[in-house]
Amino acid sequence: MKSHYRQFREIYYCASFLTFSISFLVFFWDLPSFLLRFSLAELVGILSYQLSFSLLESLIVAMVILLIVYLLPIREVKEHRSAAGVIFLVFFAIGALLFKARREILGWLSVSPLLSGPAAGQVFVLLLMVTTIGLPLISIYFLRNEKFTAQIRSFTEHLFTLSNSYTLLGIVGIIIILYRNLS
Amino acid sequence: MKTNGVTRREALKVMGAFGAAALNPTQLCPADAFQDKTEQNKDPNFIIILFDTFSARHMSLYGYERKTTPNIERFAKSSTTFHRHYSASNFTQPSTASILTGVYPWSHRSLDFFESLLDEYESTNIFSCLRPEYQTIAYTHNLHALNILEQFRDDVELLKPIEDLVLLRTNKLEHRFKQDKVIGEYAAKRWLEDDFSPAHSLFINPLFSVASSIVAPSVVNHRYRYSYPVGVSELEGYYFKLEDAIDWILRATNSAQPPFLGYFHLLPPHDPYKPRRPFYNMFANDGYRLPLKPEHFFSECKTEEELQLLAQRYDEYIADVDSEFGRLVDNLDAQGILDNTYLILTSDHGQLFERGMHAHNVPVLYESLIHTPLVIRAPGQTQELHVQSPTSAVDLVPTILNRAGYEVDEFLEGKPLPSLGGKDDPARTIFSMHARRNTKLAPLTTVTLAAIQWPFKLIRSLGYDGLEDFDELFDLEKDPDELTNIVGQRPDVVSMLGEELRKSQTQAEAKSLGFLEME
Repeated sequence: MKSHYRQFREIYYCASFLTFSISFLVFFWDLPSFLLRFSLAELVGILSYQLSFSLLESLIVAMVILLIVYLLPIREVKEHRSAAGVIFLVFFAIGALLFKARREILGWLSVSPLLSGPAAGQVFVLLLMVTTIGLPLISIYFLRNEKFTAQIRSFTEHLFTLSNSYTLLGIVGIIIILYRNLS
Repeated sequence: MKTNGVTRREALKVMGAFGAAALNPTQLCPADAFQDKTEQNKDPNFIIILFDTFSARHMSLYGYERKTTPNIERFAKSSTTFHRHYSASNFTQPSTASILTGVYPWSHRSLDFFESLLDEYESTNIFSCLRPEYQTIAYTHNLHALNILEQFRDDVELLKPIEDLVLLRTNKLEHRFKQDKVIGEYAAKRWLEDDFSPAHSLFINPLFSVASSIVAPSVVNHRYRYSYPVGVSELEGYYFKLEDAIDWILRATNSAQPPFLGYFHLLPPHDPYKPRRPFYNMFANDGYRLPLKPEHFFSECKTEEELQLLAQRYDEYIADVDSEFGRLVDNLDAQGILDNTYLILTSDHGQLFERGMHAHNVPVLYESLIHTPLVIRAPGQTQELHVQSPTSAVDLVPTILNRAGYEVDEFLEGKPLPSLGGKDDPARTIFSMHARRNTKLAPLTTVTLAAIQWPFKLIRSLGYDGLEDFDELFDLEKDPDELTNIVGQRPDVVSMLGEELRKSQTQAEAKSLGFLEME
């Protein structure tokens, strides 16, 4: 049980780091227009919702990744579940970021003389599949290297403070939205 | 029902007077309204049917070449048609706010999507002015109109949830925050859905995007593929059929307690254009082409062929909407509801298919965008009437108050409509504006403003990056397509209309921004 909790914790640290970081990044990207349109109370409300949703997303994603690493019948994954989970998480995050930038990437691909119309879209889908399925499966091979898996686990441990801070912010966000919706 | 010789109406009137007297004296809805109702008033009902993005320039009622609105023309034979009616802005949020408050966007300050009105106008709207005597009902397909209606929630007795009349809603998170609707919904939307900037969510957003753009529509559109060859109507993750909303309006108005005010803001013919089978391709190869116009600074680089095809689909969608409106009117008539009801047909804004643009939420104010339909049938009206004087969307509130027998307060920027309590004023100047890029609580300096005094229309564009401030002046009698800018030829008109714009804007902002200083 303790090891299951440790594995979940390490995957959760990485998941919360990724989801909250992106959420903050986009929030601050939107902030100049928010300042023109919303009052301070409304801004705090929006930020609270984002923090709460990010906390929820982190938990859901961590549980899904944990489920994947438990279900995959690959020896290296079974032996190094948390490291495998972190690898999958990182590549899924890269895939998600590619998806977010799809308009720009498709625009760039469409300009290329070799690609036009549907071909650009097909290349993009292939890129996504390679990133989210192909590369994680390939990187499983590296789990045989103990140094590599130790580095991954060390990395996730370093996220401890940041992740706990994010979690705390998420809880504060939940309290604020409960107040806004129940008062 | 009478009690000791006092009718329910009279009892409510007295209760209303006590309640009104307790209001803050700065309350903008007239506190003595309830005692000033005229003897002639028979407590008429009001039904406002608003079709989103409905341009008068594409209606055969207003002379458009394609026969897009035969049913509305039939309705107009015993109604009053306003030929020079203009919206207060060119997109839903500020336009709807103006329709429901009777003031221009420079007053209510809901200038952009999800922007709330100033507090003073949140509590002063057509619903609050008619309460408690009138039952107030509202429904909309449009999330931005809903944003406005949510701010009037306390005054709308029955605000039908948007999801009650949709086939499918993909963002199920949006409506979980009933007590904090405006901010909760906005935050949920921004978290899950990409907008002009990416969604806040990292992992769930891609899954949601795929589900909502591929899986959900495939399921819904496959089910209705026989009636809807290009798919059912949809916007921002909501899929619906117009006929379901019309059916509900008939049920709601039939069971409403008179007198009532019903405000029904329906999405078609807003894009994407999804006409039903009988209307699909009805105008294909008919030989009609929209006039060619020069590209604009704000052009989206749409080609002429793209614009012609889009306009054809739009016209077909309008014909579909017209058919449903005809069905609505026929049924309301058969139910006897129109005997004591003002039925108002209008729109919040139009749509552009010209100058490289297929849009409405852009910093231009050409006729296709702001010339909107207004047709009103008064109770028992059989005469066909036409009004040529310029009228504005801000006139609806004062007209309804006047027809219901209330005093019309001076703070309203609109006036009762001619032939419905107001005077005919062909020399009146009316305004429209697009100020989306302007800070909400600062004077309008990044804005496109229009002043219309027939036959002249001045469009003033100010403060846009990369564009010098410039004026356009058109003579709408001689140049209805707005092809020739006569700024150089009529400096007197430019000066006169410019001065009217400046004065009206200054007065309005002194009041609206001045309120903030009082707080």
